[in-house]
Order: sequence, then structure tokens, then C-alpha cells
Amino acid sequence: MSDQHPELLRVEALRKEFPRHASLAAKLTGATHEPLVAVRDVSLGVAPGETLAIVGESGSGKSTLGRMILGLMPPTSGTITFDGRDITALPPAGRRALTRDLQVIFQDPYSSLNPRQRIEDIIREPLDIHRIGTLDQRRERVRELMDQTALPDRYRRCYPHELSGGLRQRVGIATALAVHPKVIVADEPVSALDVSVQAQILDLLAEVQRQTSVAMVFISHDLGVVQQISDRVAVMCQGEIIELGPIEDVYTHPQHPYTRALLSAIPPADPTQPYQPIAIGDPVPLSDADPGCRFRGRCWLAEEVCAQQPPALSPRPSGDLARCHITERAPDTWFEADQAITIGGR
Amino acid sequence: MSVPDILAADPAPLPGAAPPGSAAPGDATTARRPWLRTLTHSRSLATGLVLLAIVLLVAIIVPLLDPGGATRLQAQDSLAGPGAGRLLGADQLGRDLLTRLAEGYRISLAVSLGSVALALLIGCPLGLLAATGSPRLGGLIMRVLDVLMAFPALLLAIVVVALFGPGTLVLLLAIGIVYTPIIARVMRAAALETSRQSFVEAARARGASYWRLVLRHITPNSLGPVIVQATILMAVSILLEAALSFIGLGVQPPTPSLGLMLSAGRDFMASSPWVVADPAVAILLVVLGFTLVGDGMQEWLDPKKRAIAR
Repeated sequence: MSDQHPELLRVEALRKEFPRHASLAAKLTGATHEPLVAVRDVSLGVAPGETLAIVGESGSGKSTLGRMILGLMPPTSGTITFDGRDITALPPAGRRALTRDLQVIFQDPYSSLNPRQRIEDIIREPLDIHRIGTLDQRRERVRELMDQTALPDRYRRCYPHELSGGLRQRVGIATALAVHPKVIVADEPVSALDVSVQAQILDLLAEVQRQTSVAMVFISHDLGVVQQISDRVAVMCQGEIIELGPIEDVYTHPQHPYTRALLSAIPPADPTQPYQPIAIGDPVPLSDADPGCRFRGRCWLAEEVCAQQPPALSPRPSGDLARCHITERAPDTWFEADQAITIGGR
Repeated sequence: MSVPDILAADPAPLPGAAPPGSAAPGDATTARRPWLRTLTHSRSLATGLVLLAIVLLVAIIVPLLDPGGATRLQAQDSLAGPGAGRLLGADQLGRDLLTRLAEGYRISLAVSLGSVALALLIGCPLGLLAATGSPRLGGLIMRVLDVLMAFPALLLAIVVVALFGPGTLVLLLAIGIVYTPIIARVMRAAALETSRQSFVEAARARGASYWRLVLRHITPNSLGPVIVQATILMAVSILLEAALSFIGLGVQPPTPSLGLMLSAGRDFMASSPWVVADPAVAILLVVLGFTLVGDGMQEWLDPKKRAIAR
């Protein structure tokens, strides 16, 4: 899919390592500490107007990836290009200029709004930063944005604490839209909200996207939420993309056992249907130099080959890319043959 | 704080204030009023403001009634007790104590306001810079301030006075220098905490410049503790000024000062207690006023708590 369009945002072999602080004993014995690899050579692209979801459990590196794209954290290696321009290590002025095209929606609508700014000032700030229009034009634009995000006008001069979580997240969305960006990185935009409010915000995001054709990188831990809004999905696990493809393909024909486990965790809408989430436990720590598949410690399909060579992100007949030796052998039938459901209760 | 602000602190019901409970949440027209209502809800803030208002009124009005009265000697009134002509009595030289107290208040308030303003002026930028600048610069600033802080306040003030000689302006300067590291530390701690909040990161991700981050996002959300600290320091500086004047290193006679009056009056304490009691109570009132205001200020400054008080 991404090959058909010129890509707006491209991430190539992006890697982030965090140094681990050595203990005194380790320093004395001269033991070297491997850094923690939070994002492991991730490559992906976002086409204009599309929504790419990045899903994964906590610690999978999805938020770190988002923060690197936003320039809030420098990558260890790899490149990020925007509109064909390398933005990996922009100087501060260039980075500020880029925020006209690249905006952000944060997770927690309670702490991501300045408690001492009025709603209209919060929404206007990106316009102030980029000096767009006169003050009157900016105020007019704020009204327009509040209208677009269904924020009643009476909240204009309120402070954030006077608003509910859903309303605050609308403020966050309005702020992100203010400068007509080309891409919005939304880091868990609904996970802090009640389920009923989640649906409203997701509808709003979908509606906004229909109107403005802004591209979105939607970071979430919840595949159920992602399904409503995304075109493509990248599943991350332990810093790697383990599956990447069009949303329907990933949902109907998952090509990686981890994706399968994530999907099994979505409760069925029909309560009479069996709900049997597959328990895979916590990530098993592996040395950075380990040659095998990083998921094998939690995988019920793992074989000898999984410990010997790393699986590549290989194309599957269904249209997605997946990183698994076992399912590569039988991409069409593994899912039906899989006995995971019986393992689910362990 | 200006005079009208303090006068507005009268806890009597304010004309035009909506009755409690009528403020609908999110209603923009009532959202502007709660700061007034908090004044009537926070007892310590209201009491403190009333005390300070009385002190300020005395300091402004009394000397106008009798210009020069603070230093006019009237031997026949020496150690006269409180009475009709002299509300608070007279000192050993026959000077009217009320007028001297009022003059002393003027000087004390000027010194405490001036020294705290000086400390805020230097300490706030230093603290902000230490919190938001490079770690090396921040470390350097804080170590220098740590050295200043290592001296006991009174000793440090005495050193400054010894260097520049006694006088009111030197006193102001000395107390200001003593306070600068205190203000800077509080500012830095508050700014560090605020910078970690996600709205600061959000502003950075939206392209806000360093100055916008510091001035619009970090500073307004970090000033609460600094202002509370400054108010408490005002109270302490009244005491510090009194202490330094008491030992002869502050305000010089014949200029009246609360500390000086205590010092001069202690010889007559047994026979004419009012000579000492007057300045002592005067110090108590103003210190209590500032302390109460400092306590109540935290609530008044926080829009969230303001909403709760509403």
C-alpha cells in the first residue's frame, strides 16, 4: 500500500538504545552492560491522508518511536524523513518550523493542557508560535476549530480543570489541527478516557480526518480501538515490528502468534461468544546479540529454528509483512491448525 | 500588592457577588469571580489581609497627622503612659510612640518589600536558569548559591553591613542577598517539577521556543510556591530588620525602626512596659499578617483549589 503512494513520513532502520547504569560491583569486575534497546531498527512509512496504527504492549517501544518522530528524543541510529527531507537531527529552529506540518495529540488530557491557560489560548498557541494571521484571524480560527471538534463556545474562556476528560481531549485535537498539519502523531489519545467517551473521540478523529485528510500515526495498546480508525497497522513487540499490513488482513489473517494473542484479548461484542484470551506472559529478556526470534520465549509455536536464526519481516500472501519462521511455512493454514485456544487457559 | 487589593479583602459580602451555589461549572461569566469568593472562604488569607491593611493604614495615615512627630523631643512627656493625647504613650525622650511606630512600619515595610523584591528579581531568573539551562550551568549556579546558604542568615547580613557600613539601604541589600538563594532554590525546585509535566512536553512538540516554554508554561505554573515563600520571607525580614537594628547594624537613630525602639526601650521595661510592648506588638501584628497571607496565598493562586473553594 505504501509503495503506491509517495510517502509523507518515512522511518528507516530507526533504533533507540538507553544506556543501563552499571552497578558498582559490575564496574569493579569490569563487566560491560548492554544498553536497553527500546526500538530495534524499525522501518515504516505513512502515506498522505492515511492512518497508520502502531500497537503493542507496554514496553514494546511504540511510544519511544512516536517521541523520536516528534523530535522529543534523538534516535541512536537510523533516519526519519518528512516529505523527502531528512529530519532526523534537525537544529531547534528547523524542528520548530517542522511543527507546522507535524503535530501531536497526547495521551493524558489531564496533564497535557497547561492549567493556567484558557481553552482559547491553548488552541491558539500553535497559531501564535507560527505567527499565522492577525490576532482577529487567529480568534476566528479558534472558533472554527472549536466548532469542528464540537466544543461548545461557552468553554472558550474556561480553564482545563473545568472540563471533562472527553472535552479536554477535544481541546487537544483542536490544538493539533490549528495549523493544518500534514501528519498528527496521536500517542494513546483515548486510553485515559472512559469507553463511552473513547468512541466519541474516535468518531471525531475519523470525522476530522475525512474533512482535513491529515495523515495520522495512531499509537495504542488496544487493537480494538485501532480497528475503528486505521488503514494499516504495525504491531510492535520488544522493540521490533513483527507484523505490518492493511488492517483487515491483520485482523482476519494474523501472520504472527503475538498478533494472534493480542487479537484474542479483544472481548467479543456478543457475550454468548466464547472469550478466550491467549495468555503469553511478560517479555522474556534476551541478550541484544541473541541470534534467534525475540518472541520465542513466549511463543507456543517455537521450534529449534527460532533459537538459531532471526526471522525476517517477509511478505505473506494475504498482503502483510510478518516476522515469524513458523507461519511463513504455512501462512494460509497455521491459524486454523493452531491449538492456542486450548493453551489459552494456562 | 497595591492598596486597593488589600482593602478589597474585607470579608463583608461583596456587592454584585452571586450567592453561593449559583455558579454553573464552565459558565464563563461566573468563572471570573471565584478569586474574590476565595478571599471570603479562606479564613487565614482574609485575616492576614485585614491585619496588613490595618498596618498599612497606620503607616500611611498616622505620620501625615503629625509631620515630624516621630523625632520631636518633648521632655515633659518623657515616658508618659498611654492616654488621651498619646494613644500608645511616649518614650524616654518624650517622642510619641504611635507616630514612631507608624514611621517604623514605613521603614520596616519598605525594607522587607524591597529586600524580598530584590531577592525575587535575582533569585527567580537564577532558579529558572538552573532548572531549564544545561545541567552544567544549573550545577554551577546552585553550588554558588549553596555557599551563600551555608552562612546563617543573620551572620551573612552582618558581613554585608560590616562591608558597606550600617544604613537603611545597606540593610535592604543585606537581607535581599540573604534571601536570594532561598528564592532561587524554591524557584528551581518548582520549575523542575513543572518541566516534567506533559503540557510542557506538548508545547515543545508543538514548536514552542525556549522563551515561550519558560515564560508561558513553566513560570506561571511554578510561581505558587515562590510567592508563598516570598510572603513568609517578608515576615522573617521584619524580624531580621528588627534584630539588626536592635544590635545597631540596621536603621540608625534618630530614624525610628521597630527593632531600634525595642532596643532603646529595654532599659525602661520594668517601669514603663509600653515602651517595649508597643513595638513588640507592632512586630507581632505585621509578622502574623504576612504569615497568614502566605498560608492562604497557596490556595488563592491555584485555579484548581480556587474551584474547590467555590
